[in-house]
Amino acid sequence: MNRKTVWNAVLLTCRLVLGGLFVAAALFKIPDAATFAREIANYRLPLPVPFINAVAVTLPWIELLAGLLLILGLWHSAERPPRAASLAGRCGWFFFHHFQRGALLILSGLLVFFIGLLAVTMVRGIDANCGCFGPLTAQKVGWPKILENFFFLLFSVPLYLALRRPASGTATDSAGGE
Amino acid sequence: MKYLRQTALIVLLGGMTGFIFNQFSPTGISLTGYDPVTDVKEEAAQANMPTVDLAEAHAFFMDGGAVFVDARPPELFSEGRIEGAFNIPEHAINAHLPEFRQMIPTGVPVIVYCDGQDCVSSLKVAGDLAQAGYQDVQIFYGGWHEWMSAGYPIEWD
Repeated sequence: MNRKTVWNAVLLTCRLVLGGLFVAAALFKIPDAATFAREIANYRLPLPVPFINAVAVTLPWIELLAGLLLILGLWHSAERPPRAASLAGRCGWFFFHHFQRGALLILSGLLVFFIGLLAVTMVRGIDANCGCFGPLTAQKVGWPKILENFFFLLFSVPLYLALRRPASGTATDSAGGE
Repeated sequence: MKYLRQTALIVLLGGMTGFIFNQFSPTGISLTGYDPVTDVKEEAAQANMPTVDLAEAHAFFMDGGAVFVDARPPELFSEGRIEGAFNIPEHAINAHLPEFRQMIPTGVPVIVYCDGQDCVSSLKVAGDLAQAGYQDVQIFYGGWHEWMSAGYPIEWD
């Protein structure tokens, strides 16, 4: 097994873990926006109610879309399809080609934001549910959740490193495919 | 810049999908009409669980006839609690209940509290204590923050 194969396996794992984490989290939250809104409110941030509700309604979909883009980008070729390719094929290529970097930035940015929010909540001494996976899990804010988020953030590091390398064939060679 | 443009487009697309889904979903919420702030007093009333306010909780404390139970996580309990309170965290009720039952007879009034009016840990713990046979379980809905703000007796580790 050469280094390139190992590196590709690492990138594949990172995409599946990071993307899968957010897809799963979103699927738990989407069916019950009311509970998710309550869990956001439980952090007691000075935010207006309509804003809290809007976040509860939209954030899971943003997580779902970004997570899917990161996972589905596995099958994205770095090479532009020929003009003879179907319109759907060319549109699909354009979509994945241009949005994977954004997806990675959103997912890693969310993890950094969650770590900050959990830390601030702990410092403020607030007894809150994490709300990370919606109403089905009742994990509490605390050090285990912060460490868990740091752990998942590590999976974004190889993907960012891959973006700095020149593309070589497929998106599994470079996370951005560009 | 390229990153930010892509990020903005994903956020826009995901956000619009969320709003549209919410509009047509049977579990959708009104952005301006739904109040997400939890009120343990209201939820206790719905669950037929008696509640006490700050003055009543303080009277129970001074009388010495009731036991206080703190439903917050152990870390917060260690940082500060109502003097003499027991800790039965919401997520570890089964681990703490046997010891509590050995020490406190089921006829003794129990006052359960958590952070404040917008947490529901106390409701869950109070329900489990009632199920365990405690006949007089009440929720102090003002909780730790109201007690502390009033300057009433507290302790910490």
